[in-house]
Amino acid sequence: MNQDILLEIKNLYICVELDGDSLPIVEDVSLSLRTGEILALVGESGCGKSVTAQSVMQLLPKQLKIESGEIKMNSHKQGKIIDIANMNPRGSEIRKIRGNEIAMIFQEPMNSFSPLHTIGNQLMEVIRIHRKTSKSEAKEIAVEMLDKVGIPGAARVIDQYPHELSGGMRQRAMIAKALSCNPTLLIADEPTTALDVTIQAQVLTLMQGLQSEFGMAIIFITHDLGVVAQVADQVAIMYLGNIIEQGSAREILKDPKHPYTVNLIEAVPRLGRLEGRKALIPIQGSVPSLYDRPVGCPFVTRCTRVINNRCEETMPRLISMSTDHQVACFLYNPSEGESS
Amino acid sequence: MLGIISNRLLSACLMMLAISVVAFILIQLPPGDFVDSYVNHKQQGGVTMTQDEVAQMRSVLGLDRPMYVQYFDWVGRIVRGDLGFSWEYHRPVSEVIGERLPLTMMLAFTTLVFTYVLAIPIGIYSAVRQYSLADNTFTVIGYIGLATPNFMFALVLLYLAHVFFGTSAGGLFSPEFQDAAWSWPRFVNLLAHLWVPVLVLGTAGTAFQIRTMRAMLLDELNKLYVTAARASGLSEIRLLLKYPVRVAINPIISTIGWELTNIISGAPIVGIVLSLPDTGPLFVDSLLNSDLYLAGALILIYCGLVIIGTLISDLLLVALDPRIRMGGKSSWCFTRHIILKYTPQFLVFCYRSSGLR
Repeated sequence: MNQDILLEIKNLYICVELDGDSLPIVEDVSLSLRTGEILALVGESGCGKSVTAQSVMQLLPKQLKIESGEIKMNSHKQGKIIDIANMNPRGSEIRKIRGNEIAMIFQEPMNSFSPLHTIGNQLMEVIRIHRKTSKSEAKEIAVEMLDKVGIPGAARVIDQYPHELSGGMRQRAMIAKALSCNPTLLIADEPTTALDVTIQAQVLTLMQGLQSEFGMAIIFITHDLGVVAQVADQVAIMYLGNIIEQGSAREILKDPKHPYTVNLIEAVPRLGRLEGRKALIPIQGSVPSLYDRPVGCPFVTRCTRVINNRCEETMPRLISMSTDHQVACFLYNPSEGESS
Repeated sequence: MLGIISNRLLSACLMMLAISVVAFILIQLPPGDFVDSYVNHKQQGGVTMTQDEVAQMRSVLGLDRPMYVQYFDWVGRIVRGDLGFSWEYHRPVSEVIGERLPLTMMLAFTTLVFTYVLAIPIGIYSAVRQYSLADNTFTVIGYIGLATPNFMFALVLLYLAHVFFGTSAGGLFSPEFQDAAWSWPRFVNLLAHLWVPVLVLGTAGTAFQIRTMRAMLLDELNKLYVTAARASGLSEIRLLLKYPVRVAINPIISTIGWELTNIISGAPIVGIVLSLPDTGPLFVDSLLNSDLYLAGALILIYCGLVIIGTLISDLLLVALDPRIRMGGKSSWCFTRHIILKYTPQFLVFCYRSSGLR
């Protein structure tokens, strides 16, 4: 594993147990993330982006299991490479990573704090688990963190309960909690989706600022391509548990290759360019259910550029379009998977 | 905080007042009064009372006065700590109840502790290991416990104790301690007998609370804040006890008052089946004989226990849940409103009740 690679996911399969059936919901996902880089995981609801991110912390819900694959991390604090995929989700090994080297913030700031404990209590808890500090030192760090994320009156807020804070403030407090142990990787699971637009922009700016200050890498899960354009270095587009296109954010947004990515970008409403522009183009149909997963390319049921006899039958592999751009589509790979 | 407490105390007092009215009416509702049942009793013994004698007895007991006068007389005395006189026992009510009430309270309290001490850990275990063998076993036992009527369960226990141990499971003391003064051996003897009625009274409640605890905790375990806490590296057991259990336990605590109602209203029947020397059999007798003041006092005490139970669970909730605690301000407004509105009426009521006796 290269030294500047922080996280490397290889051929990850995650399955769900449903009535005795084992259905894959993440298939053959490979990703790599360099130290200090922001990777956006993009896709519709249910495409497996959150599940992929949860598996990195072994936080999968009970019914989901990592079937095979590797999740390797270059642990700066332990000074070695660790394989998260093999860790026991209830064991002490993963607990040393959670909140310490990898932290997570969630979509709904309303529910991500316990309603019965003060903000300070919940912040100091993480600090005291991972950093050997006294109670008063932990409190100092907590106040400092709340201050850093731009919460006014941090010394007072620390004794307040979550229901006394607004959604935006709670998300800031969540970010403070996540960063309080200097993680090298932050997983942000749609952190701005539940906030209103002005607060969204504030939180995004805050996260960018903190990223340059703390230097952690971020996996940013979103379905908002505007957010991707604003924050991401790298992007991976997921559809039905597969990565269908990945590479540098700039290149993919400017020159999308996969028909799904092209459609996604066409479906983004834009302000100020309404004149002379056609109505938004929606993507036809809907995501097939897990039970009806197409045999070949997962997008084949909704794609407008299907190549007969190929897309329905074989799953295209990711091929490189340039040094930092890969796509899994037969349109760009005339020879592969030719039906014989 | 102070606002909530004073609010709850005040509503507890108002509740007692309302209950005293209802209780008084309820006791009077069945046809006939104490004199009727007394005359009946005499007649069965072959003694006939004349109209005059009957009327005179009524006037001595004060039963010839209008009902509201009797009511205010009764409440006025209670306010001054006099529970009245039991006609049946020819002794003051406080004396009659006095010997038996501690046993009733002890039984209720022990049953309550038994219920929660058993239900909370089992509920937590059942939720965390949902659909495991133990969870399913507790579910089956729980449903049987819920579905079995108390008196039936008591009879079964009596039978089993007789067949297998050759002893009687009834009563609260062995014969040698029956009328002895309180002492350490007598107390130990009480504990040795107490488990039977506690088991009978507590099983249904325990089963219910296990189900509640399990359901509440299952709800909480899937909440985002649990995942968020897990994502910060907490160990599973610390996580479980600090967050979801702490949230899930609130509804359980709020049922203390309600559970106490169940225990107390179930107690008289169990008391009769197991022939316990507590207030249960006394209460049934007093109602059968229309022994007005004894029945009234017992109803008030039972209701008082329930109100105290509710009060305790309310105050515990205030202490446990910041969201309720923070609502204190508005609740003080409510209290002030009640005080301003009802104080004059209450004063008039007190004046009249003391003046009319």
